[in-house]
Amino acid sequence: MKYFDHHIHMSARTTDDYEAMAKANITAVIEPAFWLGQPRTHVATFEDYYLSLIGWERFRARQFGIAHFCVLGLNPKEANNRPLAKEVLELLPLYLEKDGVVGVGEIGLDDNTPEEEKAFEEQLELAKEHNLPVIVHTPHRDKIQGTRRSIEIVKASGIPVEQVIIDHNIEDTTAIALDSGCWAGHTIYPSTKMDEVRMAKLVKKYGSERITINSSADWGVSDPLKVPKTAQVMREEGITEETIQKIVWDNPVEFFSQSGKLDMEMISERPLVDQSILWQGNSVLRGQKPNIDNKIENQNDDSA
Amino acid sequence: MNQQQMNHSTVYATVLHNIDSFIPDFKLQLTKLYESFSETKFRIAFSRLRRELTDSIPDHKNSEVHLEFTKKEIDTLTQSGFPSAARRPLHIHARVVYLLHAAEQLGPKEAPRFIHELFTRSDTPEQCSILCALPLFSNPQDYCDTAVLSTRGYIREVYDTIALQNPYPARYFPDSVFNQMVLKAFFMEAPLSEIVDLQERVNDDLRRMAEDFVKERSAANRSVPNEINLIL
Repeated sequence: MKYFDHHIHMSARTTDDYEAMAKANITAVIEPAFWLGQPRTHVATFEDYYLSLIGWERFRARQFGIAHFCVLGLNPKEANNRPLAKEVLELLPLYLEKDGVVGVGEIGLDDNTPEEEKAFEEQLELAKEHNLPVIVHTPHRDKIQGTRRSIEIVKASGIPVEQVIIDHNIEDTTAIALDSGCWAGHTIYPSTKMDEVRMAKLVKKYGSERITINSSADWGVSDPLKVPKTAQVMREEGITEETIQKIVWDNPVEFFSQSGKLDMEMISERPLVDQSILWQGNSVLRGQKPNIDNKIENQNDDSA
Repeated sequence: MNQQQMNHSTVYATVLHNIDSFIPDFKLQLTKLYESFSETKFRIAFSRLRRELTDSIPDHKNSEVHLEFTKKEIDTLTQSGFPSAARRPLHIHARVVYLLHAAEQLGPKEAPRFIHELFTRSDTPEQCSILCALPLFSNPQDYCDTAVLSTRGYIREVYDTIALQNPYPARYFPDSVFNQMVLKAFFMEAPLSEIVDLQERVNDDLRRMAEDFVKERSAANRSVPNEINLIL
C-alpha cells in the first residue's frame, strides 16, 4: 500500500528519514509552511523559506523517490507580529500561483488572539481568490474552543467547507470538524495530540469519510513513519484495507486535487530515484554510491 | 535591425506561430496581458502559464506536451540561438515568448533588472525558460549576472539549460566563470561535448584546472572522465 503524508515538515528532517519513509512506501508528501521554533523577524526570511519549499526540498525528496508538494501561508504564531504579518501576506499571492503549491496553510489559531484571527481571515480570502484548499492548524491549548472558533471563522469567510481541512484533531474535536462539513485531519504523535490505537478507535467510530491522518513530523520529538505505523495498527484492529487505503491515500489525494495542481502523473508512480542529481552545490550524498536504479527496497545498507 | 533584434523577432514569430496553431487563444491571451503591462501581473501570468496550457489542451494531462516544429523551423531557432529548441516542452517555448515580449515592453534599461529578479523568485522550470531566453534578448550581455548566478547552483535541469547546447556562456562569460562552469560538468557528470564552442574558449587556466582535476582524481583512485581530452 502506498502512503501519502499530507502534513510533514521535511526541511526539519534528515536523509535517514527520507530513506526510511521511502522504504515504508510513503510516496507523496505535503509540506505546509510553519514556524521554525522561534519567531522570524524579517519578511525576506519567509520568502527564502518559501523558495526552499518549492526548490531544494522538492528536489531532495525526489532523490529518494518521494513526490513533494507544499502549502504556503503565515502560521498563527508569527501572525502575532502584525507589521511582519502584513508584509508576508503581500508576498504570498506570488508564491501561491507556483506549480506544486497545492494549498494555503498551515493557518489558523494558536493563542487565539485578535491578530491571529485577522491573519487567518485574510488568508482564507487568499485561498478563495486562488481557489486553493486550506490546512487549518488547531491550537494545543484551549483546543475545543479554538477549534469551534476556527470553524466559525471558516464559515464566515464564505470559503466552501469541503475546501478546508481542520487538522490535529483529538477525540473531542473530530465530530466538531466533521459536522461542520470540513475535513478532519489527525496528527499521530509519539506522546501528544493523537496515537495509533486511539486513532483506530476513532476510525471504528466515524469511518473514513473526510478523515485523514498525518505525522506533522518536524524539528521536535515526532515520527515521520506515523502514517504507515498507524495503518498497521488499524489492520491489527480489524479495519479493512479499503478503509485504510481511503484514509492514507485516496482522501488526501481527493482533498488536495481541489487545487488543480496535484500532478497525478507524478504521484501515480513512485518518482524515479536518481541521487546522482545535485542541487545548488549540495548533493544529499556525501561520497556514497548513488542509488540510481529506482529500487529503494533493495538498497544496500552500507550506502546509508 | 541588428543581429540580436533579428534573432529575437525570428524566434518570437516562429514559436508564437507554432503555439498559436496548437492553442488558438494563446496570442489573444498574450495581447491581453500586455494591454496593461505590470510586473506583478506578468509574474503571476508567468507562473500560471504551464497549468493554463495543459488545461487548454483536451486529453493532454501530461504537462510535458511538445510542439511539432518543422525541420526548417528548428534550424531557424537553433541558428537564432534558442538552446536545443526541438527537445523543449511547450511550457518552455510559451514562457520564452512571454519573456521576449516582457523584455521588449520594459526596454533595455529595465529588462535586465526585472529578469534577474524574476529568476531569483522562480521555481526550476521557470528558471529554465529564462535561461533559454537569455541568448535571444536584445543586448544579451546585459543579462550576464543572471546567467552567472544560474551556474552557481547545482540543480540538474538548471545547470544543463545554461551549460549545454546554450550559446550564452561561450559568447558572454568571462574566462573565470566559463572555466568553473566547464569543470563543474565533471562533478555533474554532464556531457562536455554539449558545451557550445568549448574548443574555442579553452584557455591556459582551464587547462591547468583540468590537469589538477586529473591529479586529484588519480590520487583518490577515482576514474577520470574521457571527456577531459576536450580540454587537455
